[in-house]
Amino acid sequence: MADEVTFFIDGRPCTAAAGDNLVEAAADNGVYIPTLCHYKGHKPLGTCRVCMVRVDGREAAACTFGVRDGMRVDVDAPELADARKALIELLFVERNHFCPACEKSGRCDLQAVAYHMHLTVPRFPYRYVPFTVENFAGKLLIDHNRCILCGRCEEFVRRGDSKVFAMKQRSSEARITVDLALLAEMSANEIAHAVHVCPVGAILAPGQGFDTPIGRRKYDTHRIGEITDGRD
Amino acid sequence: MPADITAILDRYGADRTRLLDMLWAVQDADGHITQPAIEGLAAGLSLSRAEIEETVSFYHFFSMQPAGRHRIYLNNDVSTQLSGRYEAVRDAFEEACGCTFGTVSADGRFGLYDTACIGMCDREPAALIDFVPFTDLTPERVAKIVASLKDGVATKSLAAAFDSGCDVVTTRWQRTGPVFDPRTAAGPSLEALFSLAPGEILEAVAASGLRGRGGAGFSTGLKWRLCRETKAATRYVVCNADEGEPGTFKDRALLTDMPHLLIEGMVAAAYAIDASAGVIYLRAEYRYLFDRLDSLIADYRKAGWLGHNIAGSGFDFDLRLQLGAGSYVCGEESALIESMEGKRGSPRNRPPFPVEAGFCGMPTIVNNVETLAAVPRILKEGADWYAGFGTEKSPGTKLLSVAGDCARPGIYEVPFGITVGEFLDMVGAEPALALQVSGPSGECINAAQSRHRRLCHEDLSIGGAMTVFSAERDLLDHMSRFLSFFIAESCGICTPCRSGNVAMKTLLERLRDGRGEQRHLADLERWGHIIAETSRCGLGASAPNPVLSSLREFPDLYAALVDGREAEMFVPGFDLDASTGDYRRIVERARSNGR
Ligand SMILES: Cc1cc2nc3c(=O)[nH]c(=O)nc-3n(C[C@H](O)[C@H](O)[C@H](O)COP(=O)(O)O)c2cc1C
Ligand code: SF4
Ligand code: SF4
Repeated sequence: MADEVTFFIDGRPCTAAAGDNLVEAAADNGVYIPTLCHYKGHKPLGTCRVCMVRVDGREAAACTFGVRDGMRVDVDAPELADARKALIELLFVERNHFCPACEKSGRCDLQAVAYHMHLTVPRFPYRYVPFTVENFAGKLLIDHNRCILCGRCEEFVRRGDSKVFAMKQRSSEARITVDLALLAEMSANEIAHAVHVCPVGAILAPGQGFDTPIGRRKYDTHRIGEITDGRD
Repeated sequence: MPADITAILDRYGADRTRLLDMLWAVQDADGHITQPAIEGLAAGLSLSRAEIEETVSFYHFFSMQPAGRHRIYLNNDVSTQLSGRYEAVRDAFEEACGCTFGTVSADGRFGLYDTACIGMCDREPAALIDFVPFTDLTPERVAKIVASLKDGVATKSLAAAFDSGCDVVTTRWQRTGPVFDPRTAAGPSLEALFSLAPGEILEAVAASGLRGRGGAGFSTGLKWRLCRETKAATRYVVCNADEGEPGTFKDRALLTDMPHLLIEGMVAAAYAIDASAGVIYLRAEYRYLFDRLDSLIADYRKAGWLGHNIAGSGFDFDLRLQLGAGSYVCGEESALIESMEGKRGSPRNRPPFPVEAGFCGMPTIVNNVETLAAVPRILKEGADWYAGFGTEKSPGTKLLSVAGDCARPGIYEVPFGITVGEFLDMVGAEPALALQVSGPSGECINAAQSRHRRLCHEDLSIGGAMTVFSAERDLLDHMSRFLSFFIAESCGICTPCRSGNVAMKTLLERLRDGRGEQRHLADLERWGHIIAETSRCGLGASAPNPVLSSLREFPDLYAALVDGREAEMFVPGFDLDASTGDYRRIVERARSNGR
């Protein structure tokens, strides 16, 4: 086991093993740092940037940092909270998130983080670009209106070494795509894993959107910062 | 004839890192990247089709549909807008080719496309036709060029007939210097170089104070030492010849006129850090230089500079070229490494830095062309000689690519520390309104108020691009174009850069349309800071710079956009009272009726 070290969050001493992922180490010390792309226990992606904190005086995505002895982390500062909120707003205005009509409502991280931050109206103008919903042979749906391009599906859904999901194009044209040959080979369990990996309602399995009734889902009963296990 | 995928896979040893080369080979044979080719490559490389498409679709110069037998990419960067002939040239292309930009002509002969800066800023308007540059375009020239292409004249021989030759675009050397003079600049001989110990090279480079010329100004000596100190089976030297910053063409000058210095610099670097292989990552826009550089590398190999047991030292090192495929962010060193590995150019998270884990996970130094080319000069003339130029924190000299509204555009070598005033006088830019220092990712400064400021890391960092705007220019229009450039070139994986810059642009356009308010100026500033602070890489971090720096330097231009707005009958947003008035009246009526 790596050395236990002391680091500081907003001046409060915390402990963790050296090198521990900062988002996870903070959670273990009772400090919730919001994030969307971080998939607990896996390699950090550093794409959504929502875990923005200050590490030793410099802005940094907490998920990409390992804990070091004596490290000073600012989480609570108002300008940091505002920047994190702005990032959530930027995701909401970029695509079309109609939570009341979404199968993921109540177990969507984007929605839950927005509630957590008391987000009401985004400061940025809505883009209102219509996106498509793709139905892959009745096996899997991708609703691009809801994709936040976090890259989790790309990184954490694989068959062998091959990526099942990939990102096509770049800039605001970037789109998630799925490899049809690999999809055809995927089992129901693997599909369920892909749905679970997606933090929002962009990857869905047909017929399973309402398996748990709305109102009884994880974020219907708990605030996002309180949930640490893998429950749905 | 369809591309022979088996032969292509063989040629590159079915090595996934060579995917860009394989895609170029397919596209050269088939005109575009076909579905069967994607399937063949996927099977041969044990990748999913989606993974291949991820790479193909990321790059501007790859296409998955027929894109015209002659592909014409007309530069639409700011420096071409300043030429005054851009619109006319663009129209001339559309008329001659019979299609609009972004489309292919009905007969499939021509494809017309917009493209960002192609590094010909002192010779605009300029276009790449089948990756051969045609510069100094006029509508008449365009008509002639297209007519010749229709007659079946080969693009290369056609270019030779124009001043802009097919393998060389003549550099306008306005001022050569002690370090880079195309007629005389030489490094140490092979024997002299290898009579030094690797540690002595590291020391000389450190003592010269050389700092990276790619923009960030990191100490080259330190970078090399950090790489050398990382224990590993092998190390790599990478030359960043991606030169994508709009307005920059100084690396093109070196690649054209002094490529020997670059190769010798890479050999010296490799020997110093104990690297086994080197790669020059050449932007696709400079593909016309590929064969020339490749044969020069072959000459060096023949002369014993490259290969096995160089100069009897027991040291092995070889070098190759890697052609990019059209992406500005691939100039960012970790994105460049991703691209060298055959992937889309998403910048990596740091740490680890390339000196710890770079190409294929091995310690790698990435250096700019100018940085590496300076090394043989330092080794030849001495570190003290070099450090004698420039300022304390910015030793040496810098190549500047000068374009825009000035009498003498071209390449200048200047010592660090010259003032903005001296610069403007030197290039014949009086009176100038603004100077874009280091391209869009640098700063837009007020020329008149900044004459005393110094061009060096202590004050105004210089990357290479210097674009002059005269008082007639609509400066904010150009800032807006810069922002559009960053929006289009964002790799798209992080939220602030991908989405935030679009929001900035929307707000800026709203202001420029006269629909903004005073408070929006503060919003622009705050949004810009959020994007800069939260972005994953330098592209997002500098994308708001055109707006932020022009806000700071030209507050009056922005104030004029909102002046008097408060006085007008301007409804700043949604008026809750007015919109719900009828409802309120019904409620009140109901109340007074006693219900
Ligand atoms: C978006 C972006 C584009 C860049 N483009 C280039 C480039 O075209 N050429 C270059 O040398 N450096 C470029 N850089 C800087 C490189 O990341 C890196 O710092 C540089 O190649 C290091 O070499 P140097 O130390 O010799 O300057 C770019 C950086 C960013 C963030
Ligand atoms: S589909 Fe889901 S997991 Fe994949 S990038 Fe989009 S939001 Fe992330
Ligand atoms: S800042 Fe822009 S270019 Fe850089 S990683 Fe983020 S999206 Fe990609």
